[in-house]
Amino acid sequence: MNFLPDDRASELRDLFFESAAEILQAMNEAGLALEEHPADKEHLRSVRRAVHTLKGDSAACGFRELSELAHELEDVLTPELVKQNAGLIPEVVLTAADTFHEMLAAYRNRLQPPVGGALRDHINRLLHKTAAAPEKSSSEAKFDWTEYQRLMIAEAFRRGESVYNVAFHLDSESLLPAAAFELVRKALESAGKILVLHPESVAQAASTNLIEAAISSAKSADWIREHCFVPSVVARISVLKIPVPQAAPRDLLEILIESEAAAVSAGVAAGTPDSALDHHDESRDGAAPSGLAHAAAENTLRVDADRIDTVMNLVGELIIGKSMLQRTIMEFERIHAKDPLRGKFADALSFQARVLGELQKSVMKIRMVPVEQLFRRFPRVVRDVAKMRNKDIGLEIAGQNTDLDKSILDALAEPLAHIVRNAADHGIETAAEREAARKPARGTVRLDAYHEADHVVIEISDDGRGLDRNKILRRAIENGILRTEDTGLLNDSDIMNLIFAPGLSTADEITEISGRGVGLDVVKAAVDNLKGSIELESELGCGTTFRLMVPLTLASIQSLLFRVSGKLYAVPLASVVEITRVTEGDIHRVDDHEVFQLRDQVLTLVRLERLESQPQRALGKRVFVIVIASGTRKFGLAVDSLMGEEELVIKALEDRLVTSPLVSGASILGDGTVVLILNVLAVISYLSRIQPVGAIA
Amino acid sequence: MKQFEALTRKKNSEPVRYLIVDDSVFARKSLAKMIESFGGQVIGEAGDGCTAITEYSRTKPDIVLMDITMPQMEGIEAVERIVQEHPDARIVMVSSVGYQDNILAALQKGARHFVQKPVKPDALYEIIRYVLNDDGVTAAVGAGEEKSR
Repeated sequence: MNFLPDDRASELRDLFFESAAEILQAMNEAGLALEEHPADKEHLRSVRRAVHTLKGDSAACGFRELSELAHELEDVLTPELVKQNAGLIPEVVLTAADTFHEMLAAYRNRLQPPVGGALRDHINRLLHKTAAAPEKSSSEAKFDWTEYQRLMIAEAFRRGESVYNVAFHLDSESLLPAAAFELVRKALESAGKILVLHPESVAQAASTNLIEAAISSAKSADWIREHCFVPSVVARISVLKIPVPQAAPRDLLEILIESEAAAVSAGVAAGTPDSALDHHDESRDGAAPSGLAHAAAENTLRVDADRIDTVMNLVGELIIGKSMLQRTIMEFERIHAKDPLRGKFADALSFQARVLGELQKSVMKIRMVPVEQLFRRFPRVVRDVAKMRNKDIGLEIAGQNTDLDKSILDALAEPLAHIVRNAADHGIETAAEREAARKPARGTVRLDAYHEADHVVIEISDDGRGLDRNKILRRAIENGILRTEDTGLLNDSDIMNLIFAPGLSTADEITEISGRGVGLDVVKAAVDNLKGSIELESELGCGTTFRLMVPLTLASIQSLLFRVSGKLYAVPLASVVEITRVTEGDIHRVDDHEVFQLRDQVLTLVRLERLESQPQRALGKRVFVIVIASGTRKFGLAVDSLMGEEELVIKALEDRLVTSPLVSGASILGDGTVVLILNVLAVISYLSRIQPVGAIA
Repeated sequence: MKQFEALTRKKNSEPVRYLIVDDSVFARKSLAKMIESFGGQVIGEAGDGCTAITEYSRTKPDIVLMDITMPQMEGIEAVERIVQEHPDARIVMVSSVGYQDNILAALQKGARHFVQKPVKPDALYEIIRYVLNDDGVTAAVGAGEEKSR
């Protein structure tokens, strides 16, 4: 049920999904913590708060199933039940987080949410364990409606409808409370509009023989009594008309005030106004300090990432505009060399440039989020794998404060999860195997993140069994990725990189956790998409390290511009080590490629014009060489002329315009010239692929 | 067998027409007996869900008594198919103890009520009266005494 116009509603939905994700994360963390310290009060409280918030928020968005399930869960997370079943609780909490996650995914895609059988089973188990305690809430009808329910009732009054409180006492001989509940619900539905129903769902109905409801109906109380008296399930029925509140409220504020009035009238009807108020306070207490979704709400503003992107784009346009202005002023200076206006122009321009720089930095900062947001999911992932495979695995996390562009972080979530699962599932051995290999029984998966030039490096390492080269080769040949006769041509890193080939899995058995056809090729594609790269190190018996390198941001980079055969290119300035000049005579050919000497190092030289026919080069001619480094690798890039540095705003390229992975994007200069930006990582990996061992120093 | 005040169709005061679906012949016969004691008329019988669907279309009964567990097609699926085609079909599920989930599913698919085996005539009578009496084309007559036990 929604009181809001559509666009507001969809905005709220988005907000809901976002905060729900945080709530689930908190539940996961609390669940794990409870596993370590069962019945820790603080963690239990935070779980309850999380569930409570989720219940309220999802109800407000009209996600009834989720709200109901959360409500059921909340009902069993009472201190008494928890105390009696301390051992079960962590599993329940984690299952709940999973179930809610699936339901949310369904809602997001506008699908019917799953019923959450596993969670319901847990809930029922908790309930039934204690069913012996005679707590069948039969008692008398109270019509003790919550704030939200009172709001629903007040809304009906506002529409000018008559509202009735209806209570059903079920036939105690009826063995099917759920079916009885369903029949009662149907009867109510055909008698009017159900505003409130308690219990809310079939699953909760099992534990009660009292059903309370508020309906709005055009029929009389007698008619409703007659109509809803379902034979063989209802023993007694009472129908009470709720008196119409004094003035018809008009706006939301009045409705809220009115709902208080309705509460009082409901309280009067039940004869226990105090209990209504108590309930009220309790629910408020439960929600207010919820440090989860609404943490620091006062100082934090939630903004849709798209909006920030829009601002970022506009800043990009401004930067292009700035460079347009710069060129125009340069032209002006050339024509009117003596004009006193020149100085003023220059002042204004530098002022503008400075402010623009600040603006851009600020917007970029907004987009940056710590990788912790991503890392914090993994304790759960590792724990699940460890549990399922009966291993003992610890997770170490470092560098979680490293900032990374939000969109990159999001794109990395799945690939990283895949690698972490792989590490825990296939990498780490069982405790017995580890002890046999004289390693500590507890395996370790380590996550680390740090900055390196304009890249962020994310490392996932394990101290497991490492990659078995022979096994990889065998699999590659079996799967037709590699011909037997080619194996001799591959060096060590080539062999390891085979694991990124589609359809190759070295695990002997495909497990539910990691195998399933999608493999590291998907991971590689995702990282490629971000113009990043993956490095792999592995020592048989000692462990494996994946190193993901991704750009800090996708938005803009400080670049060095240069020309080759008349065309304008750029490389990220951060990857440039130095610029030198080499005469053609000092360039030598080794095997199939060119090298040159830089002080005591021999570096590969790359030319962008892919010499169709080796043109005759004057031996004395001097060429500019840009020395580019990435990680431990270095190479030289021969260029015709250097054009200076510029802040380039990367524009996304449509795939069909530029198909080469060697180009990471394009930019437009102030005068409208298009610049292609080289993807340094891709150039390096391209070189190492086409050139024999040791080509790159 | 105890005689009940006859339930009749409101429109034309004719006897209420029943379709009985159960794979047990014995169960069908004993239900038929009860129905006759309510002044009703059994116009069709079926031993499985598939037949129930074709019989329903052929006879357009006022009430269907449907067993939940049957060979070939289960009662729940038959309910779903019949209700899909005839939304105002009045189907009462007949089930053995221990099929709570099935009954619930049948109700959610559109069955109107349920009765448990062994079927007690009084309970079934009340249930049928209730199911008939929903402002539809047919309605029960008389017999207000047994309402509040």
